[in-house]
Amino acid sequence: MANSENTTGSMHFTGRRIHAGLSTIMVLAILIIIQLLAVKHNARFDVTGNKRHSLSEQTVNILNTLKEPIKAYCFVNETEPMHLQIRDLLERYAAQSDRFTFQFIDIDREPLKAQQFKIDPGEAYSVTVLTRDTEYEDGYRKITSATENDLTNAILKLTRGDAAKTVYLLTGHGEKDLDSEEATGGHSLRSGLENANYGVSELNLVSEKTVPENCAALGIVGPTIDPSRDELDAIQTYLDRGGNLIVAIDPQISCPNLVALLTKYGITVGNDLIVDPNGFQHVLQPVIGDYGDHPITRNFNYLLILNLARSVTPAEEPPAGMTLVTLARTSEHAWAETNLSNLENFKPELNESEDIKGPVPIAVVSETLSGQSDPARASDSGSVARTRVIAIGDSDFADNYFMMTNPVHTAFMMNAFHYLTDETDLIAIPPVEKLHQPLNLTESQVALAFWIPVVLLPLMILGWGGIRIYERRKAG
Amino acid sequence: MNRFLTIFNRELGSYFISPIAYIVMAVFMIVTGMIFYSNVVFYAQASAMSLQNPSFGQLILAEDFIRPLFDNICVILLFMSPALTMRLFSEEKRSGTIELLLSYPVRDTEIILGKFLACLTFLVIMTALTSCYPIFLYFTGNPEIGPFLTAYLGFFLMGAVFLSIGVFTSSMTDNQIIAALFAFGINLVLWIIGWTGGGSDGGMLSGVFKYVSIIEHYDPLVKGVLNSQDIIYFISMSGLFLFLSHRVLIARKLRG
Repeated sequence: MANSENTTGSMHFTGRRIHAGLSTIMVLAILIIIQLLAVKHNARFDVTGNKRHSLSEQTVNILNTLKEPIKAYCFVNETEPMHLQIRDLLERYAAQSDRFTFQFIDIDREPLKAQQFKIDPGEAYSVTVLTRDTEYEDGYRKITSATENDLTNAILKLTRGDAAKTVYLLTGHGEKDLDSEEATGGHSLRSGLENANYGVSELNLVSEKTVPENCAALGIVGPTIDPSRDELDAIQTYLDRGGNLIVAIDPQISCPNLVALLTKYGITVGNDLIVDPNGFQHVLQPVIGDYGDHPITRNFNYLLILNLARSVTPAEEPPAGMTLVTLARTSEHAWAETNLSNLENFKPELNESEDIKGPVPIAVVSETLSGQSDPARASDSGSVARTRVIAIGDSDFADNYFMMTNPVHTAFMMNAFHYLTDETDLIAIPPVEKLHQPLNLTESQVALAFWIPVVLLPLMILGWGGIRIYERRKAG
Repeated sequence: MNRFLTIFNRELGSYFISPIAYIVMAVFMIVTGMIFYSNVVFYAQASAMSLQNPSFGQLILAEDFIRPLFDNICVILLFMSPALTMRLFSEEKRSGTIELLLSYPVRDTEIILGKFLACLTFLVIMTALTSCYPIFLYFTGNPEIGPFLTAYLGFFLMGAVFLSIGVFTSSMTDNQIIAALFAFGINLVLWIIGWTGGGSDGGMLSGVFKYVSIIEHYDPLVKGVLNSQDIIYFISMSGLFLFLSHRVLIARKLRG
């Protein structure tokens, strides 16, 4: 009888253990299913003020329509400052699309991988290579920044399989030095263009004589002396065959040949100086927030800051076939001061009969059929092609200082080059609104940051505890 | 409900009977206060440099202050949470009161939830003391509220997971030191399991490790990104370890 009860109890015990084991397995299985569903149907909310951890609509659309796998090999070591930034970005891309994957590679441990992508020592530790999954022999794109704009454009170019276009920047007239990393240098412009997957070359027309055939766009950024007649002829020949030109010219720079060339394309460069009473740091740093309806500036809700700028106005009656659009204007409070006779004691004052009253155009784009600006040349060439010319009344806004401190400047310049090179679907993603939250504290505020949490609050806690324990002991 | 509240009040009250709770809170404040103060000094210096040099770059309170602050406070939580939970069941087992507790007309789930939530409430009280940090920043700077709230949410949810692990390890042994070390070990594994190499395509195992890693789910919250999958992860992990604690208690009952 006792044996029978023991056996029944043992069976009962074993049965409950099996039940406990099975229920544990079931709970684990349910939890795993919940996690899988949670990953598949994740809802994401970016609660930051400027949505800096979200991808733009353009990027989301491109990632959602990826037809083939894209893999990013990131050669940025963990010790590099940009590591976290690029990782954050790549993770957002990977979370958006199953077809986008990435891998970090330690260039010191896997130098062969770097050789496969022909990574120069200069770009080691800062380069991300985008490939069509493992078929990197088929073409790849490199970027050396951690911006959504460059990464998305690289994906777009890779998936389209386009060969990189080359832009040339004219030298020999005091233009921005593309290798200079000084505040007034042009290194940021070069790296911006390279990150947008352009080949960037300098062009000296005195020695080269002609603009190369593969020139997708020619830039003249910040000349201080006028190009010669021969150089202008070479540029004109290039434009006549459907070339594209962007000129950024500062005030008080006398370049009659260059100005005359722009005039042919309906753009008048004023001999003046923009004065903005609401300027950034002073009245000669106009703040630009009024943009024309054009692909370059569409959805541009940001401020450009110019430094010593001149007016650039479109012709009131452009020739037939020529389209002129003002890209950017100053505020209505600004004006273009024409009396520059006494700059040492410069006291700007609006003279309505001589000055150009605001809003003053400072950037204009001209699109025309090549040769139509000069009918004689058109008949010579025999063929008609589209020519695009952009003129901007300031070059400082494209120097290292302004491009590094304000990403809107980079976006504007890249948009201009994308438009010139007919890469309008690469038009820059508007940069995230810049946030700068300095904490300017007085000495007493810094002292408070120490005394309250480190001394006062712990003492209060200990005092409160001491009283409570004392009362408890006293009570009983 | 009343029985649950009885357990909850008894556990929460037990923290404040001895001086230990007050000492733990004071030490927590001193350590986090020092971290906060060093962040204030560093950020104020960076702000001064940014004024002198406009190309210094952006300074964002949420990214450059709140995020490192909460990252460091969470490290303290990693070490401190086992100390908060180690005695929950171990002490009862060592003193023999666990048999008495289990014999009461109270469900096992109520015992576990009562102890767990009491511990979590103590953590919330401790965390509430740090509210002086956002108040300070609110009056001296212009912080975004969203990232602050999600960072606190992340800290709370991570605390809930660590405490549930502590409840589980405490239910397994009558030795408080072993319970604390075991809990710390599991916490640490959850912390570092995602450090298995960089990339999104490290294979299935790497993907599983990354998903299990608590940091992978905490990081978006402290950045100001709220993912439903992260919230579900934290709740699931807490639920899992509380369930396992329940299993341990059941097993003890079965053993008699």
